[in-house]
Amino acid sequence: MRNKLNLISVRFSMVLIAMIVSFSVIIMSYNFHRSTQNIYSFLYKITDSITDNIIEKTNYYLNKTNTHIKVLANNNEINNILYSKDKNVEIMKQYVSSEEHIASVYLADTAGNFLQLRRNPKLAVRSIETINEKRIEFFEYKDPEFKTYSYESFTSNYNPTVRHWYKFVEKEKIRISDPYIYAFSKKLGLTISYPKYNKYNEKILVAGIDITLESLSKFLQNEAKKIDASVALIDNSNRIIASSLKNKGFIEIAKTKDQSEIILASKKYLLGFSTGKVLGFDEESFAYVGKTFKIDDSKSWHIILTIPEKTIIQDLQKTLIETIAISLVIIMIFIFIAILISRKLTKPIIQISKDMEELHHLNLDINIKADSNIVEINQAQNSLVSLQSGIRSFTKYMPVDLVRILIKTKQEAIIGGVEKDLAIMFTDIESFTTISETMSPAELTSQLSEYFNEMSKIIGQKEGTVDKYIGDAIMAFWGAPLQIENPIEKAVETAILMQEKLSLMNANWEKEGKAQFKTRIGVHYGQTLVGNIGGDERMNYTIIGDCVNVASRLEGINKKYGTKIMVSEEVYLLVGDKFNMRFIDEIELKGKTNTTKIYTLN
Amino acid sequence: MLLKKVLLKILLLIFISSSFVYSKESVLKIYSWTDYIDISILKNFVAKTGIKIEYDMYTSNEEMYENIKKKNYDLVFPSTDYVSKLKKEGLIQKISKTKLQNLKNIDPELLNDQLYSIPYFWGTTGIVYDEKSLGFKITTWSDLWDERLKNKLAISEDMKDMFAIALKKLGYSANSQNEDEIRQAYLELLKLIPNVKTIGSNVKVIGSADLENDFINKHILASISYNGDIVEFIDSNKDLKYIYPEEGVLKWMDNIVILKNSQNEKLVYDFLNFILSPEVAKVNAQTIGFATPNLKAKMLLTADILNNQVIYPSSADLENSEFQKNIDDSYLIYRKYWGFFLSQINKDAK
Repeated sequence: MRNKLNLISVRFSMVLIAMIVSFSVIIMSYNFHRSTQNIYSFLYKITDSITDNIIEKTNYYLNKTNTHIKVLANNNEINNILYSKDKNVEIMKQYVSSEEHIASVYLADTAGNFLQLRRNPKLAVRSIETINEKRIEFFEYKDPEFKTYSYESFTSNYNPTVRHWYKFVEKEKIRISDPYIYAFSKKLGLTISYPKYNKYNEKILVAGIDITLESLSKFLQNEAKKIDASVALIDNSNRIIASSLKNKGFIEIAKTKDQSEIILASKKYLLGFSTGKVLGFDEESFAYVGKTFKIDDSKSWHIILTIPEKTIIQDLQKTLIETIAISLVIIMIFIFIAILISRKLTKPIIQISKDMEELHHLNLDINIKADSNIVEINQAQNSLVSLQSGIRSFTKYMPVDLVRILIKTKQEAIIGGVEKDLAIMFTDIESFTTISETMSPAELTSQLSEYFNEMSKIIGQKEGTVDKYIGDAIMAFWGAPLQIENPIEKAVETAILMQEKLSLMNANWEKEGKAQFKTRIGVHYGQTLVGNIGGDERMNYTIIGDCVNVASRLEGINKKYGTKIMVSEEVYLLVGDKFNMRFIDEIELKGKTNTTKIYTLN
Repeated sequence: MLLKKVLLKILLLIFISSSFVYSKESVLKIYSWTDYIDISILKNFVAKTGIKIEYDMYTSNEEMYENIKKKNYDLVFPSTDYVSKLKKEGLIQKISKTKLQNLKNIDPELLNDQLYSIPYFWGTTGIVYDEKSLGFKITTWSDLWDERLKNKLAISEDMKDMFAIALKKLGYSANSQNEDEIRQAYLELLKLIPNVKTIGSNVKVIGSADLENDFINKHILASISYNGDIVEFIDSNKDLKYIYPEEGVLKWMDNIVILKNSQNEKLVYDFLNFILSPEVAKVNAQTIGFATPNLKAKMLLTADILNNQVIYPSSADLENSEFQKNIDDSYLIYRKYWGFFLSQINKDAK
């Protein structure tokens, strides 16, 4: 019983744990999912702002250069750029010395005169002019302080006026070339040019600036490094012109065999997916963001940025593992507490149910404890204690066996009786009126209830039913409601035991200075009506008939013959051989027509 | 400028009737004092010939002497004293008078029978100073030691010039080969250090000096200078004066020499004939600002140039003057004391 109940309580804990675990898992998964989402949106915001930053920087380079080039072009009043050579070189010098990304600054006029300040391969002012119908190129090599240390002169085939930056530049429009690789430095760069027109709307000269994309590349790499990302700048011909990759020069996205994540992302971006994920080496996952921006009216560049998912989710996973660990510890503690609490709950509940079971069978001699710390259970225990004492008091007024039978057979007591052969006993205390006069009511009730208790106990032990107490008399019978074996024998045995018990009690009372009780007992056997007699509200299970009177008479007759136990002839005939019985007399009993023999027990 | 170019073009049309033929790789390598040839001459020569010119520059004979051993130059422009040195060391070629038709334009008094060098420009090393700001007249080399010039003097980075000045101050020959005299001159130079603000193009060896700016900003008030370097600057700045010190101004002449290992004989002689032609030499003299030994060219110069006392001094100005000569083995003595002097200047600068 106990084990079974414990099993139930363990199951209860299991359900509790399962609930807590599932709850935690759901919460954590949700949290993980949402955090991932948030981090991705955060990531996209960051990359977005970096991308914007790069775009801004690129535009800054270009815009600044645009301003420079206009100033330079407008510095020349006439269509010979070599006329104000020193002034032009001075301006060029300012640009080249102040801005690292400017590789070269130059001017060319319609006559084919060319003036350039270039950084590579050596800092030099280069001029080309036509002398004696020959194109003469002239270099002035400059030291870091811009002092000339060497000259070089030779014939040249270079004609600036056929170059794209000169030829295709339109009035009041900045022209930006496609990126290309510089001959000397092997660096990537592009050319920006701007023309000057005269009042006849003729192009008289063009200023040009070569800028390297190296500084832009460095900037990209620095920005990318900050967030462990890779980055690529792609021109309108789908070539990577600056990137965090180590390659120098162009990477043509369509042709490259490079499988790095930035190339894969660039390919996807160019297919029209502005953001997404790509798988790099070792199945590593990368998130990317791409953007397209205009660098002039006809050209757009793209910037692509990839970031390993690992760097984003690593922290998140770490947090998740920590959360799980913490949750597990909390769950363990919770389970432990839950088991403790459920033990505290179930143990007294089990006890209560056991006690109830006992009470159900009218086993009242159990020790019910109200010891639970839990208020509700304590109340239940207290109620049970009250119920126990209530029932105990109640049973004293009712035939316990009868009720037990009713309980067992699940019947309700109904009015009615049956004819049954019963052994009937009547007892009475000799001279009780006299005794009662010498005692206080309290002493009397106390001693009397002690007497009744003991006597009733013996009756009960011998399967007899106490019908009722009448003053100091007890009326009992055997054979109903329970059909028992040897009812007469048991009744007689009861009488003997009662007398023996009383002797012992008297001995004790004598010691205590209390009154001595002498009981007379009459026992008869015969057919009697037994059943529930009374109204619907209140009824007694009792016996009615002559036999009851006979038993009463037998008790009374002890007085005449000075005996303690008197039994009828019916008793003698049925169990006389089993007891030491002695014939007393043959008398006429009140209410009986025939004479009857009476016997006593020695 | 424009006039000069037109003249040059006319000249070229007249002069160049036959076209020269050179291999495409032909390169003429010239090594001279800083900005010592009008670059339009170089461009025109390239236009005429189609060859390539590489033109490197130096700021002292010593620098030139070191570098001609590192790179193969065709033409170099040493001072007279260094011509002797280079000749003695067998670094230069004898010049063929027959191949150099325009040698006839040069003042014959300046030519030797054994022709190893062609006079290019001559000039003086004197003193230029800001009389107004300084508050006293400089007339002698000794005046440079005046304490009123403290930290206001620019000196030359030419070893020979600096010793010559100290030797002249002491009354010795500018080309002394007597170690005792050279040592005395060195001690004089040490006394000059407190007055020195800049040396050559450097501010006491460290940092960069710009003579003209330094004069304008009054960072310096006096300088030891070559006449041709400052002639234009003096013209545009009334406060400045170029003087010929009473002890005797230093006279020098720069010359063109053909280095021993020059391989482009035809190219070299074509260039020499070109640069010695009267028109080219005249333009060159105008641009560079020194006195030309080319008599035909001198005849083409305007009066204001010929009358400019800074470029063409009077005979009175040249009283006690001395030409810089080769000092032979004494060079090593000079080097030794010059090294001491530079280390003292460095120490002082720190």
